[in-house]
Amino acid sequence: MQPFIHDIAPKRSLRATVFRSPLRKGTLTAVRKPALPRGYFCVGHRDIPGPSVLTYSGYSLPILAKSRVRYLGEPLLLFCGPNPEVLAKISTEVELSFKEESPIEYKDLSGPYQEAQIINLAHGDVDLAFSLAEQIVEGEYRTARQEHYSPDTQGAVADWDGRTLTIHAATQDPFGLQSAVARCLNLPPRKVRVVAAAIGNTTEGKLLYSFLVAAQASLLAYAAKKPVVLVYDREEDLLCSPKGPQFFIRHQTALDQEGGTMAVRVQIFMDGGCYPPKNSEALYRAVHSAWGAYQIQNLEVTGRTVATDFPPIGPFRASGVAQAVFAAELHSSRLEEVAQLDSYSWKRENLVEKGRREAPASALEVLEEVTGLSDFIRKYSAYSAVKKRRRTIDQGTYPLRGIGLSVARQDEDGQWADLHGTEAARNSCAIKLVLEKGRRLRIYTSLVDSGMGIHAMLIHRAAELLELDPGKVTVQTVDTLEVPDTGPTILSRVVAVGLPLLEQCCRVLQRKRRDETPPIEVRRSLPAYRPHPAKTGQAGRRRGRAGEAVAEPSWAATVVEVELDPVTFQSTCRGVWMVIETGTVWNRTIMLGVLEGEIIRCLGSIRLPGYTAPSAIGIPACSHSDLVPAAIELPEIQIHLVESQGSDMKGFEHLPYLGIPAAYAAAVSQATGLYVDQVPITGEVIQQCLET
Amino acid sequence: MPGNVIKLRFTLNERPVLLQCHPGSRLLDVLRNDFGLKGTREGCARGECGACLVLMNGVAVNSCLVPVFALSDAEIVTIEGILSLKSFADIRKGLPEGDVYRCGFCSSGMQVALAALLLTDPEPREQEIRRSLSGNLCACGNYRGVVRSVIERSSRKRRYGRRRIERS
Repeated sequence: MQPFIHDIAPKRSLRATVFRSPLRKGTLTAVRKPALPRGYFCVGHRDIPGPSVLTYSGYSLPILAKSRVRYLGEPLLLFCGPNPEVLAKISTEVELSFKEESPIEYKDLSGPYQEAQIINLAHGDVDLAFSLAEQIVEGEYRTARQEHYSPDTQGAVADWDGRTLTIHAATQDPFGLQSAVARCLNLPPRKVRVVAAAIGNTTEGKLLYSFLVAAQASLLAYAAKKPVVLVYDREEDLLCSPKGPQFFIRHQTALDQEGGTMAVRVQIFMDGGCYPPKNSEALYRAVHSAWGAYQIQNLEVTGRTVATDFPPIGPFRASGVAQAVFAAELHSSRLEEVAQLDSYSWKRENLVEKGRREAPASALEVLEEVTGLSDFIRKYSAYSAVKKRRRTIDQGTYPLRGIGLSVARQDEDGQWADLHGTEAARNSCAIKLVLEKGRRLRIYTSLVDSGMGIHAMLIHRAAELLELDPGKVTVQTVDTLEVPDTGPTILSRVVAVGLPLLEQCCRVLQRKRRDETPPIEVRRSLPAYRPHPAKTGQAGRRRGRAGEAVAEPSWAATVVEVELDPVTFQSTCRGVWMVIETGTVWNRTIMLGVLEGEIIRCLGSIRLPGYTAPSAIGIPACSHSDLVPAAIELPEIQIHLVESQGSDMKGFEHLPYLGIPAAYAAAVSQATGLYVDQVPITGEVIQQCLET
Repeated sequence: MPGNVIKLRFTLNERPVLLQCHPGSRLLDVLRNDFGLKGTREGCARGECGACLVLMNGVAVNSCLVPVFALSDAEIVTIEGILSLKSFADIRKGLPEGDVYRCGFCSSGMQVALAALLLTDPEPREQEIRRSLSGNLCACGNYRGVVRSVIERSSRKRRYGRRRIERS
């Protein structure tokens, strides 16, 4: 197994530290560095040879702040030297003069704030439908900022030998990191070598920020001409690393006399943080998923990225879609009440577009199956009856129980089109296979393993296609000198791009095996971008990659059952049932393992308090037990995979993030009789709902 | 400064060692930096995640919270010891295999927690296994896989033991 970045410490290496802003917002007027002992080095923004701002997938982040400080803990200076204790002392001797400003405390994001990006989407005649509506149902939904929580903190080890810069980095995109660091140091990319360290499971937290940490370590190594180890401590990591954005979503629905949906109007406000992306993939996906999995003729969506005084945001798993689906599903549970239908019947009806004959077969299939698996209809009726009998939440001796259902789909919008965009600039996406003597196969790819079973998937698929012993198939250590660029490591992307590419290689290798003797080498790459014929023009920005399985979404229906403590209102999950249609299921064990892990992570992000921005350095942002559930808290989890014939394997890892929060909130709403309109759902949130 | 340094003796993976360091140093840093035992990992540094668990006198403790002055005459066993020492051969048979863990960061902490459990209860039940892992946080959420694996191995051991008794 590859070492983690914390385990890499070359001989004679220097330790590094980052001097950070104690201000939340303000302007620096002077920065006085202390006199440095011999063997110690300092780097400021003026020492950066190339551009001092990192850009990636629509995001931009300064490596070191110049005079304007926008968030608490923003990096100002870098120090390195042999003794960490001396470095800590040096950091205390830096003198700052500044004009401090009060950051704005945003109650919600819909005020008259500065907007970085607006996206509009409309079809049908929404105004007419609203003017004819019998009833209009409104709702506001909030989702909090999300912390990645990776077990290993951000870190990089850099060494400049005068000709080549070698970086060991905990990153999901080694070639992206290579070009970002090369730009910042004004070096040609071939002079930068990146060796990927093992990374702990992360929700895409090792993309953008891993580049920044590697750039910082490289700047110091460039100045000191010695290996430099820069590993953030946990507080630093929680304080400064980009978070998943918070959302505020407002829904208005026009209903006819029977409670049927005539039109939907949605306003989405995304917290862009202090460095708001001008071209946000998350906002784009939120806008296109604003009405969840449902069909509607008249739809109007406006999405805005709002610049705030919060720390920067960055890529996060299912960001945008998860929040939009949460709001749409919770709003739909209000519509169910108006229509006097249970969740199952309402969803079944609304998955069908008016004028069309039937809903997507996969959607109905998963919906039918999950209701049967979880005994949803019986439990829903029983808990609804109890809710009716109980006038207030603290009345009666019945347990506070509820059950919620949600339907979601993961489609091409969940495959990080902009990350493909960064790749298009590099213009390559390749995999190489080498079959050696003794039926040993080596896979060369820049896809890293991050606890999502990606290497296991590649190994088992190659072994299956080439009829080899999986024990004799290995994935080469990810080193930019040796492996081709396969793009960033995101599971849905691996499924959509990496696996088809590997299959192509295997087929060619199979043919070559008949005529050639080992070693046999096969390399295949996908062509650069081309517009997807079915999608171009539809939304203006939709694109597809050749060979990408973008046409069909994967579907999931989720049921969550909860019980609340009648005193603390702390919720306990009694069970999660999830039925997923995800095309070909060729390795059930890996898929179930990944899904189960994602469900548990997701339950943690709903039930636990999560991340809160600290007001000063030294105040912990949150504790680990606020982010990840422990083994003792696990509910019953049942996952059923529905295989669809004649379809490729599709992305699936976002589905728990899309389905569980809404089902959980609907269950809590049923248990308490309150409209729970936000995540995370803690006891305090329910208390607040009761008070309001 | 000499005044800030203490000397103490303790047992590390069944070998007596002499350590000279600052009394406030953490056991975790000593293991990783002075003895090069990188299997003990730093996760939260606050005793919450269990990545740094070691056995101290047979009990699992978070080494990020143990100052070295508490080590005098203690018996410390790290994950390296559990995986290599003869005295832990039986315990190893009850631990999950390596491929159960996903990203692998929490694996050493989990194995130490399970070893501490197996030292007192060689055939634990599911609830006991879960309880013993309650101080370990797994970012991959793979608790069930680990629990299942321990139960399987323990029942395999039980079956094997029964067969041996029947034969004898």
